[in-house]
Amino acid sequence: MNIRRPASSVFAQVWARGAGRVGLVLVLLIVAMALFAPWIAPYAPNKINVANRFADPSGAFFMGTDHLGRDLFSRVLFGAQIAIVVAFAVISISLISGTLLGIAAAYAPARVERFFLIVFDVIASFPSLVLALAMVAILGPSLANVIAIVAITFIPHFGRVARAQVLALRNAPFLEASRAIGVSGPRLVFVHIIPNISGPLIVLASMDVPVVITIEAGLSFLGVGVRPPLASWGTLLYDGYSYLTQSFWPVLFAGLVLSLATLGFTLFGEALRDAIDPKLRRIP
Amino acid sequence: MTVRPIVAIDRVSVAYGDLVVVHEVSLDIAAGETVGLVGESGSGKTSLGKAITMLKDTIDGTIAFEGEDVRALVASDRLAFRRRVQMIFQDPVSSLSPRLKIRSLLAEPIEVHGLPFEATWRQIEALMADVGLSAQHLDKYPHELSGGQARRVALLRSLVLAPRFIVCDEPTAGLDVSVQGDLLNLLCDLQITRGLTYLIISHNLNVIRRVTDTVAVMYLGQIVEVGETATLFARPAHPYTASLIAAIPTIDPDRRRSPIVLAGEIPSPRKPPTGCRFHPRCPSAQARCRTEAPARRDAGPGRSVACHFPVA
Amino acid sequence: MTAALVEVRDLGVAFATERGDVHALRHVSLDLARGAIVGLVGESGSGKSTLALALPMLLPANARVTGGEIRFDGVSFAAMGERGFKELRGRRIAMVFQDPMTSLNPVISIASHLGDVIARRHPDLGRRERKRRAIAMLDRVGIPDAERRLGGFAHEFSGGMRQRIMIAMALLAEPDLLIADEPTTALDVTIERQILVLLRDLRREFAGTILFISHSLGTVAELCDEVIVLYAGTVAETGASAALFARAGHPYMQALIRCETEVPGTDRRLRSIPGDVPDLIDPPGGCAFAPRCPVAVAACRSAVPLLRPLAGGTHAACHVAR
Repeated sequence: MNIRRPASSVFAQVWARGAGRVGLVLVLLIVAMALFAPWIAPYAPNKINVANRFADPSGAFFMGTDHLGRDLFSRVLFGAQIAIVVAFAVISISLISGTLLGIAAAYAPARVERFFLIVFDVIASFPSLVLALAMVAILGPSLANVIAIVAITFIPHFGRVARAQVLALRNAPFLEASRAIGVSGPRLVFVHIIPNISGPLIVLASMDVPVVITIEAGLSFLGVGVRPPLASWGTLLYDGYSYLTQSFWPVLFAGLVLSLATLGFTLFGEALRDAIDPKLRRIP
Repeated sequence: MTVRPIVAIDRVSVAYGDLVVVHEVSLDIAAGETVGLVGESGSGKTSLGKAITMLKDTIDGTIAFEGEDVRALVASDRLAFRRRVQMIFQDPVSSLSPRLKIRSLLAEPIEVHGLPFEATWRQIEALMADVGLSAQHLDKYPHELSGGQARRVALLRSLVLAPRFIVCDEPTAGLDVSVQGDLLNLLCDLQITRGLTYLIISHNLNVIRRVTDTVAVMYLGQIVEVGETATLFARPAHPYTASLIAAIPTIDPDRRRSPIVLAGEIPSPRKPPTGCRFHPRCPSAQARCRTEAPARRDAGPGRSVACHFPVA
Repeated sequence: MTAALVEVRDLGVAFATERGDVHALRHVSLDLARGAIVGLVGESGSGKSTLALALPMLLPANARVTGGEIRFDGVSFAAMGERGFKELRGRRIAMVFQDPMTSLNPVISIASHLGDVIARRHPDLGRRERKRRAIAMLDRVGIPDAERRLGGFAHEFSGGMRQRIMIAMALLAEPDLLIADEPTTALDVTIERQILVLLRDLRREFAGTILFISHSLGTVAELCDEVIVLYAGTVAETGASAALFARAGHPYMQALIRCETEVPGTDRRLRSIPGDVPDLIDPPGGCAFAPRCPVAVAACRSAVPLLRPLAGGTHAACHVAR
């Protein structure tokens, strides 16, 4: 049974680790970029200025400009917004529905439970990116579709962990004692079960954020993610890649920011895991 | 006993999967009485306690509470049943939800049963002093309490519902001898002031001897002897009861009988022995015991024993 | 009479915690006589497990010895060094714990567990002789069908049987001191009785000293020759078992015995000891029991009482007892 720790001490522990500190700073930086993009960005992200195509980084254009003369720095900032919105929407949807489905599976009759598990396995057996590609091809690309489809591919993750956690908890004396008091149904699930299985799920969620960011960038790169002219890191990379011979700055900066974001969320997720539940740490 | 019992257990069986851990047990508990249920681990005493409190389904037999068959209760009656019948669990700290503060744990029965909050909370505050808790405990988490304090919180959570009958599973497990008395005295006080009936499950025979009126002895899923506490301890009739009592270590050299050392261990309920289930370990087993299961027969007032050759 | 096997003098042990140093043992002096079964009784927080870990120097990292000394077979711990402790733990002291699973590796067979112990003690013995001895010892401690069960694993045995295996392992090491920390606490009374009978029988063959740690007065009274009573990290009373339980002098021991034995009258009141065990971060200045003691006088709160002989034949650390 993991003992309750106040949130403040969890963050203190993340901060106490070198890697966790780097991760936390990067995460805060990316989130701040997304939140304050409209105020920080020196130009409108989609403002075309053909006269200034392929400008090198300068005082006026922090990261230079792209093939349409749009300010790359502003586009990177708004790209962070897309990445964060997609990541948080996907993770929230799959975390919540995965947890509820996992709990339902654990308490369902054996045959229903097996059905749940087979569905989980089928979804999980496709690589997220491939499944998303196929679905977007059918449903058509849009931000909402990307979120919905990627969320579905992440549900089995959370569903399986939630189910395993509930199975481990099912015979806990406090659940029986709660039933003896008369607690049942939703109250048992939301007050007594979820708080006690949340640790590993939150860790899993934080570790999945960089994966989702990469998938979103990948879909956009392939042209089936968010639609131009919306600035996603993936579309920035694609545009930069197409005109690589004219200027390498767009690819360099978009790639750098994407890498730093995934690195930051990964380091943060690992530090969070060690702080919340050291038992989950894989043996090196 | 001519009064109608508050709990009447009639040929009840309990199983986990196909493992029958309680086998056709019958027992009556009179209102206001304290009944002790003793036996080795694996005898099925906790499973029987959970069956009485409807935390475990029975596969056979009937349990009647105040004359009502508990299996016939519809959903809304079940919540009302929980107000009348409560259970205190063996491991007090882990029987409290670890992420809730004591305040929320105490408020929970009020909310679940829709009792008037203000008035009931005032009752809790009044009761807290009685059970030996103070306001400073309200903002703690269960793991910050001692075993004794956690047990008092569990007790208070039950008392809020004003039950008539409480099953106490190993109420003194893990408590030091010097504080066991406090808890048992508290249970006795509450019995008088609140008109409670108890079933106390314990393998600690010293505790059972001192706080119960009647004792039922379980062995491998069956009750082998029932009797008034003092006479049962003085003159056990079933050889198993006799060996249990003789095995209690005592500091009083005068009370040390030549102990009957029971051979072997309690068998698995998966393959219970034929005839009398106790016969492979029984010092006075005879041929008949191996083939014929003894029925529990009356052996004096309030006394019954399931043995072909009782020792007293 | 040769000197005692273990002599503890004025021993102090403290644990560093977030709230400050917990003084788990303070000025503890005691002897464990050769060949005796010595009972160590006390409630939670009395320091009995700390003492059990101090004797083989197995104290955890946050513990430190604050004073005093321990001599084992005449050799002071201070002169022993890490190699000496290794020898002590590997050969001269064996331990049996409340939960045998803490010492039995679930994926190693009972045969290997026992074989390792024999090989360490008698490196020259052949494989067959080791096996023969292992079977003989399992048989001796009452494991039925020992030869067949030798290849089994810990989880295939019941709690009582595992404890017998632990005792077999301890005895195969042929130690000078066997420390048994609550070995029967988790067992049913009938199985506990079997283990007590086994231990009592074994003493005819086992020449060493047994330190039997328990919170159960009855168990200690039935098994032990001598008894040491700990309270809040100090020795409250020591003496021969029979004398101590018949004529305890220390008010704490007297109260404890009353809690255990008194059959209540019609009002059913049971005895308890009012008050709480003192906070060992800031232990009381005088006698540790003074705040709960019904007969405490002014001196009890200021001066630490020393062990001294009483008329009843025991030694008690009490200003008042006679």
